Parts: sequence; C-alpha cells; structure tokens
Amino acid sequence: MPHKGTPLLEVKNLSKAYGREQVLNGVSLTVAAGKTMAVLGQSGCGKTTLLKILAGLEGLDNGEVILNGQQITAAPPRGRGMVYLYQEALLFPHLNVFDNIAFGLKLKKMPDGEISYKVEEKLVALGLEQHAHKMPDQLSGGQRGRVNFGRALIIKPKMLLLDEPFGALDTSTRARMQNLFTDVAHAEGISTLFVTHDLKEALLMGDTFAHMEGGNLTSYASRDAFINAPETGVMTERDFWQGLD
Amino acid sequence: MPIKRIITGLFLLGAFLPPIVLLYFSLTSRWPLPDILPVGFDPALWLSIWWGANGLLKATVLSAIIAFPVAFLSTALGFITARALNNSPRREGLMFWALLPFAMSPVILSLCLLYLFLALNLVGSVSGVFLAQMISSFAYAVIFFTAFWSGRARSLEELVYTLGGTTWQAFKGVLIPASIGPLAFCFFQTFLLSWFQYGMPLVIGAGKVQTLPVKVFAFLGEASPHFAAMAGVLLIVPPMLLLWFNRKYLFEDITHAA
Repeated sequence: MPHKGTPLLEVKNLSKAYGREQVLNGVSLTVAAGKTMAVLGQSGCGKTTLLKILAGLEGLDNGEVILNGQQITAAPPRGRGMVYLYQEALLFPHLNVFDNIAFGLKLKKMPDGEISYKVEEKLVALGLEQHAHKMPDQLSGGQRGRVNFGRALIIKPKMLLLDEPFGALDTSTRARMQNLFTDVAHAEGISTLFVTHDLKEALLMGDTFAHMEGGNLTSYASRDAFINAPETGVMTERDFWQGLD
Repeated sequence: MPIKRIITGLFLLGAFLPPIVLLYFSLTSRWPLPDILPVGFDPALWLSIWWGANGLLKATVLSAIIAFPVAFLSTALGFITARALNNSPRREGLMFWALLPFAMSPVILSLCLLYLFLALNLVGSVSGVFLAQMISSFAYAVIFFTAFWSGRARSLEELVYTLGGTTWQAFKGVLIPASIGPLAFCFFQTFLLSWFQYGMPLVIGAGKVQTLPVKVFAFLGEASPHFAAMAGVLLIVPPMLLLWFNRKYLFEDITHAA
C-alpha cells in the first residue's frame, strides 16, 4: 500500500458512450492514498457510470485505470480491490448482520475463528454489537448503512467507491453517518472516491474535490479553488445564506 | 353485515364451491332426471382408480411426470437465461422471442410446431409433449425473471463481485438463497401452465399422451360426469396444495424480494 498522500488511483482520459450519447468525455483524476475525493455533480452527469467503470462493472471505450501503480483497466471486478457501494445499503436479505459483515471474509475462505474475531471487532467499532443477530429488515436506515460500511471495510479494500451512500437517509441520520464515515475513514486510512449531488456533503466528506457536468470532470488543486469555482455553486449558495441576514 | 364480510364470503364461496361440487359429483354414481344433483353415494368409484380403471392413475402420474420437470427446468433455465438476456445489448430484440409463444393460443402454437415435431418423430410421444410445454413455460420464466434481474438482483450480484466473489459464489451465496421466494413462485406458475395444459398434449400427443386435462375432456365427451369429476378433483388437488404451500411459506419472501 502506498504512503498516505501519494497517488493511489489514476484515471486517464476515460471515455464512455451509450449509443450516440457520450456519457463520459475524457475524464482524468487522481485520488491520493488515504484521502477522500469528493465528486460533485447533478443527476445524469455520469457519476455512477464513472464509478461502475472504475469498479469493473461497466466497460469503457477509451482510457486507462491505474491502481497502486498497476494497470487494471481490463481486470475483472473481483480482482480490483475496489468495493462499490450503492446509494441504497444493499444488505443480503437472507443473512443477519453478523453474516452480512462476514460475507467478504467467507469469500476468501478465512478460518471461522478469525472471521468471528474480525467481525466482533467491526461490530463494536460500528456500534452494532447489540444487533449482530438481527435480520436486515429489523434494522433502521442508519444501522443498515453501518452494516453496509462494515461489510466493505472488513475486507480492507484498496479503495471505496461510494455512490451517494447517504442519499436515502433522513437528515439527522445522514449527518451521523457522515461523521461516522469521516472518523472511520481517517482512522483506517481508507482511500475513497465519493460522488454526491449534495454540495454540503461534498465539502464535509472530501479532502480533495472535483466537479462533473455533462460527462466532463474538473479537478481542483485545493478546497479554496473548489469553493471559488463558479460552476460548483458554492459561492452562489453562500451568497444566498448571507442574503438572509 | 359489513360489505367487506359479504365480499369475503362471496370470494370464499367462489373459490371453494367448484371443488366441493366436483368432489360431490365424483362420490356419486347416478344422476337420474329430474334430480338437480346426482344421487347414490358411491366412494368405491375412487377405489377403481387404484385398480387402473379408466386410466386415471396413469394420466395423473403422466401429468406429474411432465409438469414437475417442466416447471423445474423452465424455472432454472429461465432464471439463468433472463440474467444473460438482461446483460445483452440486444435485449429488446431477444425479448420478442420470449413473448412470441403468448401471442397465440396453445393449440395454434402446437399446430405451428406440429410439422417440426413430425419431422423430429416427436408427435405422439411424452418427450414431444414435454418439449412443447417447455417452450411456453420457459418463455414465461424468462419474462418473469427479466423484470427480477433488472432490479435489486443485478445490484446484489455486482456487489458480490466487488467484494471479491466469483459468479459461482454470487449464485450460491446470495442470488439463489435470496431469491427462493421468486424461484418458488415461478415454479408454481410454470407448474400450473404445464399441469392444466390441454392444447399441446392434444395436438402434439396425438391422442397417445393422455394427460389429466385430456382425460377430463374425454370423459365429458363420453358423457361420464362422475369420472370427469374425479379427473377434475385430481387435476385441482396438486395446484391447491402448492398454492397453500406458497401462501404459508413463501409469500413473505416474494414481497421482500419485490
């Protein structure tokens, strides 16, 4: 694993079209190890397609994907070490919380004792120890979100690809999940590409920033550059709130 | 009496009266004029089935031999085919072929298939009727699972891959256990399609494959209402048991999966 701050994910000139519709148009970006890049964009701008291509779930027309210095453009999803999380916490409906979190470790055929130890540890870290034997339909939205993260984090992926993971939550649960994710991400040094249409969420979650529109992605050198760029809408939003005084 | 109770009562009457009437007819041996209902309670008619009389036992076994494998195979193949279809860029064009068997009645479809089955020497054989029924049941299963795969199932499969799983692990660990409800529901529906099928055994079976529905119509043609009623009872008992099983054990799973 590269040192914190050095480039982990490099995407070069990535393009994708569905028929005549150009969804991604020469997208390039770099995500540093242990950092979260927040990509802000409205619905239909190509954010989900970008993440799915990076996860290996969609093909691409042109471009390169390099992870940890290795070319993974044609690698299958299971060989990439990148976990893609959907907007909805897609828990396996036939498994309880413990088995949902243990799922990735079982795929690796890890010994049962080791699985139990790691899952118990993760349950405690996520505040889910009281819910280990509950089924997904017995959990609240926030609890489901935590299980979803636990299941992804326990296999120690090289990178997390988050597709508006808090979009389906109510405002207060969403805020709690944002804090929880930020704490866990910094504590475990997780590298993340986080896409959202929510400006505030992008600013809260991101260490670095990008903006997507019409299949084109613009990366910003700093937080200030992102805030000051007119296309991100941060200044407009700030002016609105200041205008209420 | 609240209107809801009246509607429920009418519904239950509509559901249970026909099987009760059928059962009553099957337990009587005479229907003299001008009686409205048959008379002469004679349960011994049912015992005649076990001695092989009227070919009812053979027809029941034959219908089961065809319907259960048709349901099992069409459900399993439909599950896999619909997944492939959903991932195909030519999905819309291929769906046409799945819908085609339902554009015509089973008898017309059988007549369309007759020449091919004659050429393959399948007319008048159990395997011919089995293959013909597979066409419509398989098409139904494909249509049923196409909607299923375009929703959560596909996302669950993709999630398994990014967590490091293979296709086999995705099916064994998630897709099949999480889809028990829809799989059982499709099995039930395809079983019904095959079990009640009359046109295909009639045309492709060419009178040599006497399934239960064929027997029912034959008894009616012979003016044997008591044997027709017995065949009718045998015809509706397995679907009713499956319906009860579906309601009791699987309905919740199906609603969750949806």
